[in-house]
Amino acid sequence: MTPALSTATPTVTLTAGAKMPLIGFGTHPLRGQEATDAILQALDLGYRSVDTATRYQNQDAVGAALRQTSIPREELFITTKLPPDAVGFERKTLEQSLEALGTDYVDLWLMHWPPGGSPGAGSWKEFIRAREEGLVRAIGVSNYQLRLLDALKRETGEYPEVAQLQWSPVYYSERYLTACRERGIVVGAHSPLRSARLEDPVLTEIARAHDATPTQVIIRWDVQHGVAVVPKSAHRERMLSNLDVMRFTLTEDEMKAIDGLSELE
Amino acid sequence: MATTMTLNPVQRRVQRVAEQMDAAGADVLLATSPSAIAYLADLNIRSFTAPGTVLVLGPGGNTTLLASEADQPKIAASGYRGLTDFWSLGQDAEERRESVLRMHLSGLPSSARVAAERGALREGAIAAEPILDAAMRIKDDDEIRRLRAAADLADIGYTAVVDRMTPELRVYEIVRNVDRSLRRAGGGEFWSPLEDAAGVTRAGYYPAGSIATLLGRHEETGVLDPSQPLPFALYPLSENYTGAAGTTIVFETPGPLLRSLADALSDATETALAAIRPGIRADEVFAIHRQALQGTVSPDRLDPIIGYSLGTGLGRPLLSATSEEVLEPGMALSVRTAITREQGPGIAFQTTVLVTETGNERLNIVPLRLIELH
Repeated sequence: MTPALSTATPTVTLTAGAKMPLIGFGTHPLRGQEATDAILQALDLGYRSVDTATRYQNQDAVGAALRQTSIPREELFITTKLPPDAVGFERKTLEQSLEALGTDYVDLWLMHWPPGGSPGAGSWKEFIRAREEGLVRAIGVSNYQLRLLDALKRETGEYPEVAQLQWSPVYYSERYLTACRERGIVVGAHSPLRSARLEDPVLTEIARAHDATPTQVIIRWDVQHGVAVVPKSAHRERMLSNLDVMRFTLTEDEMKAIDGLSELE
Repeated sequence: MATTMTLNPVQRRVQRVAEQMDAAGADVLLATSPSAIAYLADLNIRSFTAPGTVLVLGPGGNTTLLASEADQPKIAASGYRGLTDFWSLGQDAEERRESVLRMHLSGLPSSARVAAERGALREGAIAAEPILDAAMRIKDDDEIRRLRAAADLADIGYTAVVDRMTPELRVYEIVRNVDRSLRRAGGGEFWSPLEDAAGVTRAGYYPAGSIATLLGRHEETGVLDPSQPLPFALYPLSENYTGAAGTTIVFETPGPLLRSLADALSDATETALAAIRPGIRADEVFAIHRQALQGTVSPDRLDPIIGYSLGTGLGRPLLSATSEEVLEPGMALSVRTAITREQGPGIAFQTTVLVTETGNERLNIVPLRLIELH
């Protein structure tokens, strides 16, 4: 095990008090034994946050890894997500997740997509109830626009604690990040590398300056923005590399240069 | 000394058809449907430019593909290894096709018996469909592997529809989402269940007003009606074998009537699925489904067929009131149940099941209930 990396991974405290590592291990699209092996390896390398979802059909594999690891459950941060077709079946779906994961609670439960493009206030009330009952420690959403975050607050009185979305330099939105900060919401990045242009000269030059890879630069950029990022890799070397980003710091100019790669309007 | 030869998957399928041809007394078989040609040649003609492709399966298991020269590049790129012959383009292409076909049949002994699908029927020919149905009935391991992959693609297509669905989306945007997801997952071909023998996809509704038609890419305005249920189905192909899955979306809390109908159909579908096992007759499964719906909906609003053989396409109707066929391990079924409504689109659920030694295995994760997106 390499606990030095683990302790170096920064965390953020969410509204209801849960501490979320800013770098986690994404499990999509791994399944079965391959997923279990990859998660065990990630935990061994120092990851303490694992991101799964009902949709990924790998919660049982995550559960198998949780049973096999010697790392205490309270040191781990497990995220799973409710699919949009589970409206009306929220509690049942959560119970299925808990059973597959082999745990009494998940650390973060996200609404995976806004159901039918709506805020999904009915489901969100079930999320709040599940947090009150201790079945989940934090609640959030994925793939939500700002207007939907505000609609949830308006209709239920509660903002999500985390808003995960496709996020990379290409998809960077200062407006979204600022608005979330103002609302006490932590932004989470899914598909942080798939949507990036790793060969972009801005990234490669910054990477060279820090003896790092463009991938590491992106993850570090996320961390410095306070964005929780969940890169996925089934390869040990890349897992280690993705976690090993705290040995350098991006300058303000470098952060701005990466922000400038956004292709959003 | 006897020699043993390992047959590849296509050769095994050809051999099964040849055995059925022997049993039916046919020496030559003319296949014209996309599913039959895919079965015999691992070739998808659904995307061909010109209609009328014929695969001639002759004595000894040799195949000759007769097609328009417009499709020559596609055939060359497909990896098809059998013989080919082409008819030229032009206004008289149909006559040239017939001429090419006649020429290939003229070399046969006068005593040769020809079996033909509807697209190449000729006087005195034996119907090829029962021969093909019998050969396709039980799936081998390679076919089951392909069907599993196709079912996975159908599930991926389902999530592409449901996860990104909003009432404002246009039909082409939903198609794009499905297309992108399938291609990312290694798929990329899909089809409409409504195709004629020549493989031309026609416009059609499933049930009336369903958005399944958008997945068949036919012309329509493309605007969704969020006040109505949106049944949809997907038929992606994986190595020429098809997935088949579908369900029904609503954008608002359903009214009591719609909910009760949907719940009844969902329960009846699950009941029918639970009954599928080796040894049960197809009409018994159908009766179980109807029994579960008794008193909840008028029979004339129900489909007379709730299951089809599944393989390189949707095959013969299987689960119906008149089918006495006994289910056996290795059979694959597309179970499709639907209730039509007097006004507006109906409700439909569809999934794929494989009959196993002890019961059945459902290959899709698509929930067979009303999907409420609100």
